[in-house]
Amino acid sequence: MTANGWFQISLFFALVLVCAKPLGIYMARVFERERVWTDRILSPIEKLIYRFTGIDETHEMAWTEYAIVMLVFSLVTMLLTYGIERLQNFLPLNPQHLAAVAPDLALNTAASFTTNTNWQSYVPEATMSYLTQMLTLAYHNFFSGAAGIALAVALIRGISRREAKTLGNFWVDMTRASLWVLLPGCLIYALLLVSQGVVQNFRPYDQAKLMQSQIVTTTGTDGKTTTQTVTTQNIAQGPAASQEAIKMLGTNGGGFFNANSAHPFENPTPLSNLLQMFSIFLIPAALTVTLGRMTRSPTHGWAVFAAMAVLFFVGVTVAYYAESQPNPLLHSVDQRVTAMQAGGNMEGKEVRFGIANSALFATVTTDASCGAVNSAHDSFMPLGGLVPLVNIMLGEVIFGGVGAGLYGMLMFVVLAVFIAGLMVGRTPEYLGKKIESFDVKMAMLYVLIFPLSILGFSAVALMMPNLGLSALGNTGPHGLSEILYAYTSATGNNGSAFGGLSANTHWYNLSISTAMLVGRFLMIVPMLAMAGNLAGKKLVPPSPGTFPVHTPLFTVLLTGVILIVGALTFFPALSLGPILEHLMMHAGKSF
Amino acid sequence: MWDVGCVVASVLFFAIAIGYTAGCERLRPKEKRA
Repeated sequence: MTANGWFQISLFFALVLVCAKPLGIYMARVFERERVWTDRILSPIEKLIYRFTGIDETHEMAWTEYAIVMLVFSLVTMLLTYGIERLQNFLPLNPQHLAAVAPDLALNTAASFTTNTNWQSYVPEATMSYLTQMLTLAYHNFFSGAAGIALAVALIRGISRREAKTLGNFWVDMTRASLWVLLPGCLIYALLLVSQGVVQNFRPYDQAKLMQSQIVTTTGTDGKTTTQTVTTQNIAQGPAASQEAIKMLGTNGGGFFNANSAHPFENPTPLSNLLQMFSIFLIPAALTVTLGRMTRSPTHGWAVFAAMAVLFFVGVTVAYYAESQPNPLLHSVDQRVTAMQAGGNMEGKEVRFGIANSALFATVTTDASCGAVNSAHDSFMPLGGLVPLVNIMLGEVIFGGVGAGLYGMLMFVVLAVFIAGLMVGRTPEYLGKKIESFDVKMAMLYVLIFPLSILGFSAVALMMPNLGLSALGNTGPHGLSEILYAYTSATGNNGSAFGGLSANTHWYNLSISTAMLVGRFLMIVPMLAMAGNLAGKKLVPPSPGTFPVHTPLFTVLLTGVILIVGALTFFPALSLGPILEHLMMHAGKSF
Repeated sequence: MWDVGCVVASVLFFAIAIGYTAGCERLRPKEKRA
């Protein structure tokens, strides 16, 4: 670890901290329909959308209506995405004449982008036409992100409203999240990315003549090997900057190119790298301020922010430390940090970004449900690879996805308050609302569905040699980590891949689709049910037995609950994966 | 055939999710239901 590395990590977090408050207050005003400076431009567009679509903006929805409208909207858009993928060979903006996407892959991709996961079992520049990328994938990047923000706002309303039966209007919240938050942010951000060299065009791919021809040997599915001499290279083009902006700001993470944020056309400079990490955390961090403002308890919002910050720094410290250490299996290699080399583990990392920015990016992208990558997580040291895995397993509540991170964290807040209530023998209260049996049942349903999907699917894949294990690139604990990571990433709607797993098979496409849908929608429903129940409650005045939710003690309790729930649930699986791999590496064995 | 299967499976999942929504609402105390 170097002082320069820590300076860059601190600079990144300082930027997030400084920008969280103004954006959080702005979002609170947008969703409480107070005046903001962007109203003059955006209000007429909003009115036009409502008139055109027949939405009654004054209509308030009960939690059940809010949930069902969200589910139906998601189903319709998912099926449209599937249809366009299957028909892209007949549609325009396909200069490379790419074929229709295979049905199981099309389903996987449609589920992936609808759920804000952006798991990609394909090479984008060789599979998806410009039209598919822009009309369906970028569309989902906006609206799955907007839906996440809308859902978090609905939960905040449930906490802040008294004796109410409704949580707001899903269409209005979605429209305002898109128009007031995501769209202006992406317009500015895309221009910044273009200024750094991210491409934005509709050209067919360039073809470059190689300075030195390459001999490539490939083995087909029939086992036959073919050798060919390659003299040219295709250099992919396309409207990448506009996709990149929403990919990061909406914590989607699906790369325009296969190398994702390690590709020089997606992430060309150290400044674009800093902007990308900053934009992942910006809205999730700001939403804690929105929570504080909308519940009239700003210090509570900061207490939640503090718990997220503590967990973030623990993660980035472990990842940075693990990646900075020399690999004990490379005895005769000079792995010291010098002016000429980074030292530590540089396998799978971009030299442009180095160890600090690779460890930081991996931590940020898995704290949030982004999934963009600028390095290969599969190449991290075992403990370095453990960090992204654990971050997702904790429910991606460390700032988390846009909206999803906050509502996930608030489920843990309810559990923390409930445990505090048990400890002092009083009915637990949260911001003046009594936490009763139904609320705890919904919080537990939310918490339990997550490991059920991850561990259930992983167990099935591990028990089936022909379906699950045959796609593995590594054996032993590293192979286990690859399968575990795939289902953790899918259920957590993260989308990053550990690598080493050839996931474009019928089994993985279908099982990962199911894991993504379960991890998104079957967790949102109990969250909204709790929001609806909280909204209907009376406000109880604070008493000496009330556990304050704005103190450092609350932050410690909340952090402890998240770690204990995560550790108890996943420790056995982690001990057989990255932890065992770490111990065996020091015993001289690699996988 | 695959296309029919994919569409039917998608619709089935969301139908289950809507049923699950109704199930969560039924778990709420009667006097508080919407």
